[in-house]
Order: sequence, then C-alpha cells, then structure tokens
Amino acid sequence: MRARFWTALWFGKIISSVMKFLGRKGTTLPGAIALKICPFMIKSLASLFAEGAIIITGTNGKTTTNNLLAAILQTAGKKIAFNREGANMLTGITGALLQNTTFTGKPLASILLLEVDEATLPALCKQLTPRIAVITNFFRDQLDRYGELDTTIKLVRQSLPPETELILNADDPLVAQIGAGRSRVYYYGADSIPSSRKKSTETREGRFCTQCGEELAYSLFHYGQLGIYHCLNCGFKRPDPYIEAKAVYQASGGITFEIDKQPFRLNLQGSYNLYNALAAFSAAERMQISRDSIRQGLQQYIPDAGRMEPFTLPGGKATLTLVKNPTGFNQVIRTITEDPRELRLLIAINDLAADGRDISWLWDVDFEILAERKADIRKIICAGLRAEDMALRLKYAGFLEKELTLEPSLEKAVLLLEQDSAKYELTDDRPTDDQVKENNPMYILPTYTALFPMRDILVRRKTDLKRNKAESI
Amino acid sequence: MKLVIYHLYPDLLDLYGDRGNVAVLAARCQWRGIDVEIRRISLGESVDFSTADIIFLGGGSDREQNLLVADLSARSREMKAAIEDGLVLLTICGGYQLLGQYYQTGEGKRIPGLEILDFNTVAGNKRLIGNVIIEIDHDLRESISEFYTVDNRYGVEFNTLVGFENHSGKTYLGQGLKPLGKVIQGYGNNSEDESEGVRYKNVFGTYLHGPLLPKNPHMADLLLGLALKRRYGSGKLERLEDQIETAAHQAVVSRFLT
Repeated sequence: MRARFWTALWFGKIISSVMKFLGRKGTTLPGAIALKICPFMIKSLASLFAEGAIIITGTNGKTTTNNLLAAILQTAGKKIAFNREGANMLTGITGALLQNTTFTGKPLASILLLEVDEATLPALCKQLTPRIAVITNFFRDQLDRYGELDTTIKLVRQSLPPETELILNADDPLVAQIGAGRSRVYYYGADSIPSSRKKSTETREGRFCTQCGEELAYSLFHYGQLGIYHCLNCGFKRPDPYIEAKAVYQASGGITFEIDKQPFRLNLQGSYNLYNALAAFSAAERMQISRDSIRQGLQQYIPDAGRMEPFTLPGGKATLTLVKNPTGFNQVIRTITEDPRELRLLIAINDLAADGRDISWLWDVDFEILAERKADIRKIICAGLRAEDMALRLKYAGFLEKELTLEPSLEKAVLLLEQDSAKYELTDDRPTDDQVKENNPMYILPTYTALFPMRDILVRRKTDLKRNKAESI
Repeated sequence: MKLVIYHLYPDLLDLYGDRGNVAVLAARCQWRGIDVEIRRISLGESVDFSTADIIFLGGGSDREQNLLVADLSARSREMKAAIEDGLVLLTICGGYQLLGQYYQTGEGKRIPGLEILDFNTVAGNKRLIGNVIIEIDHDLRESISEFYTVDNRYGVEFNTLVGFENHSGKTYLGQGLKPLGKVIQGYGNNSEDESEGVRYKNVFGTYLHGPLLPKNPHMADLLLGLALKRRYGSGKLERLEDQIETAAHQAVVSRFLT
C-alpha cells in the first residue's frame, strides 16, 4: 500500500513538472496517472492537511466562491491549497493535491479548498470527509451529463457525511432541503436584493415543495427560484440564515451590503456574486476567521478570467463573460441591457462535453429581453459549433434574419465584431471609427469550451493594439 | 383565421426548452398573418377541447410527471374523442410516454398512463442521451409535402428530423401504431428496433427535443397545416424564409450523421 502511494506521488509529480516545463497546465493528466497507480491517492494526500478540507459544490458560482474564500483565508494568514477552475473532477483534484505535496510527502498548506463537480461528489466523499461543505445553488446545467436535476440533488444529499458541517443557500429551496433533518447546518441568504420582485416570470427550477409536492409560495423572488418562500401545505420554509445580507445595493463596479449592521463591499457585479460572497463569508466564519479579515479579503478580490473581464482591442472596448446555463445567461443579459450605449454583441455557443452537449437550454434564456432593445444593438454575431442554433433562437426571439451574422470561426467573428457595421452607411450621420470605438462597447459571450480560445484571441488582439501604438509613436 | 394552441402544464413540463416549440408555432402563424392564441393550462384548470386546435405536452422530470397523471386522467375520455375527431397533438419525451398504457419502473411497478394509444414504456438501465437523426417515413413525408414547400435554393430536402434525446424509458409500440420514422443516428424509442416516435391520426409523440420544432420547420408547418385544414377545410400555408432553420437542420445532419 505504502509503496503504491510513493510510486503514485513521485510519478505524478515528475509528470507534472515535465508538463510545467513544457508550458502545459498539468493537473489532470498527472492526476489520472497517480489515481491509476494508487486508487486511494486522494484519501492519502487529503489526510495530510492539518486544518482539514473545505469543499464547494453546486451549479453556478463554485469557482468564484472558491476564489473568494481563498482570498479571505489568505488575508487571515492561512496557507491553503486549491484546485484550478475546470479541474473539479477526481483526476483534476488529485493533480492539485500532487502539486501541493512535496516529494517527501509533506503538504505545502494547512487547509485544502476544493471546488467539486456535483457528479464527482459521491466518489470524492468516499475518500475524504470534508470539514465543511458549501453548496451554492442548483440550476439546470449540462443535463445530458447528469440526467435530471433531481438525481443530482439526491446524489449530493446522500453522499455528504454526517460529520461534515454544511453551509447552505437558504434562499434556494433546492439547496435548503439538503439541511432538513441534519445537525451542523449553517444557512446564508439575503433579505432582499436590487432585482427582488413580488412576482416572477422567469423560467425557474423547483417550483414545488421538495418535501410534499405542493407549489411553493413566495413573498419575494430574488432571481430564478431564489427568494423568500414557504410551503402552504407542510410548513417547509426558507430557513433562518446564520449569515444574512441586508441593505444590499448595486454600487459602481460592485455591491455593498450589511451583515449584523456592519458594512461590506464586493468588487464584483451581479447579484449572483453576492451569494458567492455570502457562501465564502459563512465558511470563513465557521473557520473562526475575523470579520476584519473577511471584509479585507472580499474587498481585495479581483475578478477571474472570463467573468466580465475587460479588454481594449483595436476596434474598441470589449467585455468577455462566460455563459453556461439559462439563469447565468439571463443575469448577463440583464447586466448588458443596463448599458445605455449602442452595443455590439458576439455569442459563441459550443456543445462539447464541458459545455453540455444538449443546447436546448438556449430556449430557456430570455433573449426576448435582448430583442426588445434591438434598436440599440448595432451588430450581433453568432459563432461556435452551434452558431446556427443560436441564430435560430434569436430569430424566434424577435430578430430578423438580416440582423444576424453567422460566423462559426471565433477568430473571424472577433474581427467582424471589431469592424464598424454597415448600419449607418447610407446616411450622413454615420459615426466616425473613433466614435464607434468609444461609444459602441462589445460584449463577447462564449460557453465554457469557447471561453479560453476566445480569451487567447482577445489577448493577442490587445497585444496587436499595443504594438501598433508603439510603432506610431 | 385563428388557431388556439393549448400548452399543457408549461410550469411542470418544461425540462428541455420545450417552450421553444410553442414559440415556433406561434411565430410561424404570426408571420403569415394567422391569429394565434396560446392558452397555458396548469394543474386543475380545464381544457375546452371544442376550441383547441393544437395541444402541446412537453417533458418533465419523473416527480413532476407523477403529479399530473391523475389530473390528466380526468380528461382522457374527452381528449380521446377530440383525437378521433382529428385534434392535433404534439407530445415530447415525458408527455409522449404519458399517452401510452403504462410506464414500468425498474422494480417492475406499472404506473398507468392515459391509455390513449397502444404502446408502453419500460425503464431501462442506461440513459439514452445524444443527438438524433431520423429518416421520416414515406407516407408522413407525403403529408408534410401537402403543407411545406421545400426551398430549392438551399439544397436541403427535409427528409429527416433532427434533435437531441435524453431518456431512460424504452418505448415499444403496439400493432397498428406507426413511428415517425427510422433512426439513422441515435437511439430512438428503445434503441432496439430503429423506430422513433409515434403517430396516430393527427397525434405525434417523440423523444426529440432540442427543442424539436425550430430546427424542423417542416414538422411545425405540418402541425399548423393539419390544424388549419381541420378547422377551416384548407391548410394551405404561405412559404416562409427558412434560411436559418435550414442551416441549423443541415448543420446537425452534416456533423452527426456517421
């Protein structure tokens, strides 16, 4: 047994180093090889971390929550090991553990922080008992991989060991139900957010009480199925939060809120990020981190790649943001329709395994809201493996065929987006190129497997711009 | 002219973007100047079968399907009479399974269906997931050509239906029931007999979502044509610009047909 462990550790670490030397990321492949050699590698490595493991799972916000919590723990002086985005299945987790363990089998940190794919949770919990498990939310995502949402939730509930402290989203009834009948459960929520409404027309999951099947009544909808709910039949209701955000305001470039009358600020936009911050807040509190460190950690956090990430390109200013499921996409649409300027839009839809092979979710996104603003949309380009499906969805949302551009290649689509459109060509008030650059921001919305290739293209375009400027000087 | 479309249980059965099917039917009426009314019916609300032209029933998760079997059973006799009278019905996935005699669970328990058509579904031990392409049966193709004129500019014949399937139930058709066509890519009704979907009079059932109708405009127009013909004696439909529909249909055929 021990021999296997050392072989797996050394093999994995050497392959990882070689890959790093070759300029590759190197977590998944070394992880896969180490697991082949020693199937209980995660168990052996995870047990080395003195302050235990914190895991984060759920549909949306795993990466942001993980990063926010990491920022808080680091601010408090803790040494943490965590897995990179996308490396949230067993092989990726093993890879991350290898990188954080020395050749002599010593851990490089005291806390292990892992974002875990929902479907991977059962297998992971057979190998380690998390000190804390955070669940962000449950939305329809990648149904083809997981089967139905109900099945996923059941798997998550059944695999969490009773010793694990749970940090649950009180406002999501699908998440809150996991705490029913368990002890050591801590809920987080918000009493109201800027988008809260008395009525909701959004597509939402879990309309029905998970305990008795009756339709849930809401006194307030936050977004999706999140809100203040109760069941008229069996008494199931939103649990009282351990950490509750009040006085939530959209501030310039971020969100401000109060916890126990103390003010906090987050430099991320979108209400969904408030929930990510609250999840990280609750976990940090359970790790006995001071409120000052929490405040500092939240405030210092800088957004991740591909989450409303800004770029200055030769053709103007662009914002890159990942879209992956209806709720997330609706949030993005809401954010961009708040931009009062005339927009240029590029949507890149792929259907590879990591995106979800079934693209029918596009029909649950409220593109109708975008079509209402079509007078302010200067150009809209559909790209990616499913460019045609995206264009078709927009057609039925209210765009005309001639208003839609199909360009499957990401590179060509970016170039097209940067060029001025022909919309004003025949009139005198055609804006100059500089005006377009200044006044027509570009929003680029790729699914997961299109995100990184797209980001590479944008980084290259940015460099081209710098070079051109340098030459002209 | 006006068509009334009943969307049954949109709040319960909307698992795979199914509302897109209703949106397509409505838009293709509006583009042709045909009035359309969508009535969304939920648990406990009644359907006036005399006013209904098209009924749509989508797919849902198992828990949600159980909730509405009882509700629908109360209306199954009226529904059956309307079907015999030529009512147009489109059912997808879970909604399709409901039309049959029963659904047999993994433990062998039989959950009764609406018993409108002679077929049954048995739980399988593997989920059938992926892109599907079916070759439409010859006589169904003939019915489609009565209402849908292929645009020769695009070089696509529309002899196929394309979509995405995700089901664990395996459906077996009884004698005298015809499928929509033959599976040429994917699993279909049961992954064994190459059949996909069911049709009886103007009733259509299928596992194809994606949703079904946007990428299969010929199928959408078949439903509209049949409904207009039943109500007004003629189902003649003006041809629409289907460039993007055709491109999306063809993209699936070119990419996934192996």
